[in-house]
Amino acid sequence: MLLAGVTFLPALGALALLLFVHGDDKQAQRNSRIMTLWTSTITFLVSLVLWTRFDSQVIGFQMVTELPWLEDLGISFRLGVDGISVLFVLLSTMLMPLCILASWQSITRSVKHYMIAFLVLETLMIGTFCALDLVVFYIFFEGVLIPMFLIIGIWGSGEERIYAAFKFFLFTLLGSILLLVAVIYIVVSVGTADIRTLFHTDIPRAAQMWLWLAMFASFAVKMPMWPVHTWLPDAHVQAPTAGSVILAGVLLKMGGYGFLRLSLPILPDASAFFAPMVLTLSVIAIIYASLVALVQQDMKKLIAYSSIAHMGLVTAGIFSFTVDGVQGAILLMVSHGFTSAALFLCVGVLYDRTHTRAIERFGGVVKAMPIFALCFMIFTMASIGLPGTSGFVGEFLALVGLFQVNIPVAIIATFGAVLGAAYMLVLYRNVMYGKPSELALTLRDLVNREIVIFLPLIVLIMWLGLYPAPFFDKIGNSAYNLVYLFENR
Amino acid sequence: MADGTLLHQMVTELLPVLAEVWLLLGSFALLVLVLAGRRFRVIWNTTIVLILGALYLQYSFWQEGLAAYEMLQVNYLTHFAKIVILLGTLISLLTSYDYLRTEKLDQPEYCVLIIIATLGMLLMVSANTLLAIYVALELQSLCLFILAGFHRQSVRSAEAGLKYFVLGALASGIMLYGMSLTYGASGTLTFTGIAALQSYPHLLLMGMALMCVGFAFKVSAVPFHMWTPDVYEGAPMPITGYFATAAKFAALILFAQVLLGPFSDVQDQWQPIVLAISVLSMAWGAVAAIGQRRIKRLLAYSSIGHVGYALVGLAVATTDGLTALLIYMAIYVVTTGGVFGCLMRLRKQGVLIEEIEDLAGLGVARPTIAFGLLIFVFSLAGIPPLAGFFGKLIIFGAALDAGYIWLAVFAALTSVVGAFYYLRLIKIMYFDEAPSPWDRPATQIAARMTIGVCAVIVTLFLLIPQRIYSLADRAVDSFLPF
Repeated sequence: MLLAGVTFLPALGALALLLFVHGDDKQAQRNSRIMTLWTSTITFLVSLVLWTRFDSQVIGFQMVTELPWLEDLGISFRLGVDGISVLFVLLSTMLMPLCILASWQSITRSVKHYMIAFLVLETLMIGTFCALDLVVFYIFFEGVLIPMFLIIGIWGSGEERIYAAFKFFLFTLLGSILLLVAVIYIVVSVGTADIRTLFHTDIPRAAQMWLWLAMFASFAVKMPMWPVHTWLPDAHVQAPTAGSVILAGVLLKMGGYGFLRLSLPILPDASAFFAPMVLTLSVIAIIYASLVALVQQDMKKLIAYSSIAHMGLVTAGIFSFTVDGVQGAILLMVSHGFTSAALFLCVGVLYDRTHTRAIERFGGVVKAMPIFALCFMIFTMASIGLPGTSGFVGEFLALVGLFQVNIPVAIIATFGAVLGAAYMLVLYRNVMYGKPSELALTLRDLVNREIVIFLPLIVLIMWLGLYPAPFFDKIGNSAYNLVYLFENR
Repeated sequence: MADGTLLHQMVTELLPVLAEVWLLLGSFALLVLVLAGRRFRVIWNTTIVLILGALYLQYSFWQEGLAAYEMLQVNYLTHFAKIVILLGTLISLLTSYDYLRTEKLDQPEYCVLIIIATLGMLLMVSANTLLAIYVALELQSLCLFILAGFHRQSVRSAEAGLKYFVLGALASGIMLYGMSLTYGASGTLTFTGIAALQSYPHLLLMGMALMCVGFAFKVSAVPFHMWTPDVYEGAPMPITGYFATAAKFAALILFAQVLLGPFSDVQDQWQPIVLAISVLSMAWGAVAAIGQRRIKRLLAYSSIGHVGYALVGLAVATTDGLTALLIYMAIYVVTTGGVFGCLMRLRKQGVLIEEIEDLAGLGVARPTIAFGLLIFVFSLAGIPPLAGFFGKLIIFGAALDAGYIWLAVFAALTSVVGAFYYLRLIKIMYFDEAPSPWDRPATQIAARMTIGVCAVIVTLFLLIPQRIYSLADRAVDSFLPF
């Protein structure tokens, strides 16, 4: 029940907004904002209860809810969490109030609909991470497209927002419709869509190959992996700040989560067979995206490419099939959820004040915004993976996992970390230091609302960096179990 | 005494088709009202009452068996189909009152024709002999020909009526020819007689193929779809909606019943035909819609595409396939009914909008109706968690279960192409700025309620998929008890 509560609380909030708030005047806008902030905060608090109730000693899924749904096809409404999903649920519910706060002033039209879109999006994200039924998973996974499409298209900031929204939608749909075929194939051939049962079902090797490729098409686009990453920079640049935060912070993780939850345990033979391909693509993504990031003029684009590079390391970690690699990938995703969200929020702070994201227009911002510069510094370091920040833990473990299976790949991936330091430091230097531009001197430092947004992120980044034990405690058993399932089939 | 038994016999023969009898008598009564010079309002309300009454009779007093001296059959499948047809008719009627008033189409004949056409559809899905098929089909078609050209002041409406009539007559002729060949080869007109045949001569197969052509025309499947865009465009909006929902549903059910019933033993002969038209419809429906500039033409191609998906259920020739077809089309009827209901309310300077570009700015100017359209359009595109997704899910499931992996993949890929033009509608409504202001015509509360109910059904279908699936499954079981 708790799980269903966390999942559908935001949707209830959206319904309340739809029914009780009318018009788009000042008062209605204020009401929508406050209602949404409350809804998302309460959801976060409830998910904290979920976090404390979660028993990390238990192997397998907990708090399972199972309701009859489409039994004739073997589909039931099944929700449940293990250590991996509970972490992502927390990530989603934690980021959402920050997103609402970040859009407090920058969104001025159709506020009610904007808030509804975000709340619906939250339900769909949480549902994706809790689903224990293939079809339910697919519905949540794919349903995300509708609100995100609207968020980019309606409240996006750029000239190209329509192009970006279409590209996002069609790329993702093309991938996930193949996932749908694979899902239905599994359901009709096995007779159930219960993911727990599928963990122990042997699917013939030949069928596994096709099913794996179909799933790969979907998750690779979502991650995104090279060469199907091209929608991401466009979508990020055009989306409003909060949209970018959710996109980078949570939506990208759905791809990695899909690999962990479906591809590896259900299709182990095919996963092993295609692992070299995935590792190759990951390495290309790390190097290529880092190099491209080096020459970006637009801050959002730079961070978008850095996301692609980070996600490359995530897929490499997952497909090392080692406990270290998998744990590293999960923590890297969580850490990236904090840092990329924070970095996009930083860009948003600058954009709200100047309405530009061009790096060359800035310089010497530190003079006018010292507090902001400090925050930005912490996030930059976390993105680079400096020891003591969250980025380090995941990156280190993923690389340890990689070194156990494929040393050349591991070496190239390590080199990618150096490149990562290069582009992030270049970004920081060009924006913060140097001769102050005229634009930079007029800026006002962070207001209280913005500090409230950044503070939890800083705390979490330091916490995960300095004392990651609670996180390991949650994911440890699940990661072992995953690798065990993979190896003993 | 002899008269008494005859009467008694007539009553027992007609009891299973009570709703049809009610509609027939109702249409007479309606004509009397027309002759008595009653106002349109009265005629209109009577029509609604007639349809509601038919729904009630169908829902409460249906019984399985043969009727009208074995001309008609009644089973749970026909029951299910009739309920959907009546609901589709009801949606298109309830949403159209203001439209008819504004366009000065509020003539009593409109209602009479709708009632008779609906009667034809109900008889169609119940047909148990080739003769009954033809008579019912013509009863329906003749009314629809007139309704397509009902807007007498409009050249395009007249063109639509004429075009539909000429091409429809050709298709009917081909179908009749097929029936006569079948009769010549088998010596029987009844479904049971044809199903019981020991051998299937070539003549009979040719007859069957020609009948397939006729049906493909009626359901507007490629390559017999040419009339669809023109007729959809020219016909009055509620009639277009009626074509796309109730009429299409009835024709598809009939198509499925004929192929899976009397011709089930020659499945290997008709399966390639249905596969081909299904694949072609999906592909052409998706591709040709992209270039369309007028809303009704776009919806015409969209309906062609959807027929392609529904025919997947027939092409795989399994019980699951037929179940999927029923669910898919039932969802389609509600969704499309809602779309047309919304479109009928969108006017600029008193004129109904025609171009897709005219939808620009709807999201800001009229948020409620735009939100309704948003739900319907995403459902047509098959995006979860809306109803259209479940239709796709079940159709794909039937195809994969029958081993047609390539068909499922093909259908999936065309649906991505289809998503493109549906997204374009959303884009224009929500992302573009409105060049000119919208009218805010007063609309009947009944029309708004109907659209609202359709939207709620489409959104909350996810709560009841099992119920609908059980109903459709029961329908198929009563039709194909194996």
